[in-house]
Amino acid sequence: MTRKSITILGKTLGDLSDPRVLAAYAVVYIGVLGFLALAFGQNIIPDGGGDLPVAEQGVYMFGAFLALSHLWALGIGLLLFGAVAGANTLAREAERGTLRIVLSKQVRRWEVLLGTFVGITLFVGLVGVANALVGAVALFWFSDVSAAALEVGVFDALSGTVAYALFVGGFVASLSLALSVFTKNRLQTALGLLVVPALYFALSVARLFGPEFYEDNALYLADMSYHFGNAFVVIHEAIGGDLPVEAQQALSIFSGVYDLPSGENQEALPESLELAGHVDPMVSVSVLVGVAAVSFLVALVGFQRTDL
Amino acid sequence: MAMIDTTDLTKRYGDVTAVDGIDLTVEAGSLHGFVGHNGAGKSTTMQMLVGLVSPTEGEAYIDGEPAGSAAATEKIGYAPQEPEFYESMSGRAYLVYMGKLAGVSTPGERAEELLSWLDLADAADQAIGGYSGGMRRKLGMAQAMLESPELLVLDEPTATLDPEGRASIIDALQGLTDDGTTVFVSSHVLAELEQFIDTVTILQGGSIAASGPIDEVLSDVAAETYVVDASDNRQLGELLEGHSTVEQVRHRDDGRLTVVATDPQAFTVALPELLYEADLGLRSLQQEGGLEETFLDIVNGAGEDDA
Repeated sequence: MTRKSITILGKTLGDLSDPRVLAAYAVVYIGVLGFLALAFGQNIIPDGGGDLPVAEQGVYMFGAFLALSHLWALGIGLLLFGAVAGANTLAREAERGTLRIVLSKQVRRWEVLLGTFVGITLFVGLVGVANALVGAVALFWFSDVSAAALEVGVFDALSGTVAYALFVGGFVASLSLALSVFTKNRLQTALGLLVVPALYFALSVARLFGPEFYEDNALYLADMSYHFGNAFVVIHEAIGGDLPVEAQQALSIFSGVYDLPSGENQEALPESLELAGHVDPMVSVSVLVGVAAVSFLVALVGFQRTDL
Repeated sequence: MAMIDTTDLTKRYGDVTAVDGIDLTVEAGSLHGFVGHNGAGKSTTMQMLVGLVSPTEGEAYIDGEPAGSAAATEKIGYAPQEPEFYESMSGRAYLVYMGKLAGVSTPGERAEELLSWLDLADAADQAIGGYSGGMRRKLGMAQAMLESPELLVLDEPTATLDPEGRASIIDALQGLTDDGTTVFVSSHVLAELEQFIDTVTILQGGSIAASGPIDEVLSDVAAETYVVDASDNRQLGELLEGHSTVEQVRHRDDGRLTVVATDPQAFTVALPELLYEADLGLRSLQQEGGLEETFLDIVNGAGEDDA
């Protein structure tokens, strides 16, 4: 990165640190988190986990933490923040007209784009990690697991959490830049970015309540929770090794990545669950990375040509 | 070498032609005025020179470098007509930030220098959101001058300033050209502009109506303009309408008459005769012909042609 990109990066991080926006987001995030943590803490961890050995508590805590992270902390919750963050950088500058003076200086347009991209990625990633840690605290609060279970249950997943949070941050950053360049409007950029969490939520519900309809109409192709779920699993397994079956089971409820055992097999879990297999996980990762890369390139080319 | 050189510079937005085939040359080290009605294409032309807007046709060069290229941008400082700032930033922080983007080696020192020079030092730590219109205009000029550019492009730099503020900006601009900086400035305050510019371009409907050294442009417009005050201006106006030495008569807000003479010498001979025959007294007779009148002549002349 050039020195000027780093200057832009610093400004972007400053813009995203608006305390009013962060406070409003925190209220929404924690409000929903409370309900989810109560549900996950009491149901994914059997009977709250208080009667289980510490090692087993840790395993179930790990599964609950991953499931909560995928659905809310690094899922819909983070994507909602990403929509607001993405709209409050380049789109805001273009809409307000502050970009004219910036681009009249000896800073190349790609430097502005790169600095903004890295800034959004890092900040959204940081918020994601914070979301996950607050989520872990909430899970701990609403379950009966002991503090010793947190080492296996949460800290072992931290590296994968950081990596995945940055992955989501980069995806949001790329999309937001492309939308900002072409709309030059905060509201339109935010609405465009909100399509992702909207699909994430809507198709999760479709999968849960209408599995046949979901499969017959190949809704998994547009299901962001499924594709992000695949990426989630790929990244966590690449960093921390194979996920235990309890974690696979917990994760699959809202991601659909694995086939959940049915009928008489529900009591005795296998060593590992089968993938649902609608789309190969690496294909999901490639598509998400591809969409992000294409979005960034489109933003780069468009920004070079855009009149201000 | 010319600091600004454009050939057939054109910008269209759909069916609307904002700038139409401008051929403009501005010599290095000059103070060049750029004049035109609202919507004449001044700001669009300036934005094309700075590289913020790409031309539909034609070319523009800044000291031999294509406008919009990195080499050209390095030479330019630009202050837009209505500068937008980061409202929560202080003036000082803003200039330091812009200085870093401009590649200034000591942005803090340079910011202090400009804040002091433009009388903004006392408000330097105040949020820009609390600045008056005049302070914002000065801040806009300050950021344009951060990198000590070879070419300053200023869109209405004295608008919203009080007379003292305008005078200080004008003094500063004259000082800059003494140092070799080229200044390309637009303004609506034509009477003020003509006091300090060397050359002028008058833009109308996106095209150049007149361009060149200010003395030549003013004399090229054949009519001479007088302001006449008689004991009965209404009656005098009726007498002058259609007179052979008079091209146009306009009634001013203060009651006096602005008379555009086609033959100034003949007019000054005929006027006392007219007044004597109508038993009117002459209170005052002033000769004008400045930039404002020239501009109005060109614009009104074109308006009549259109009619």
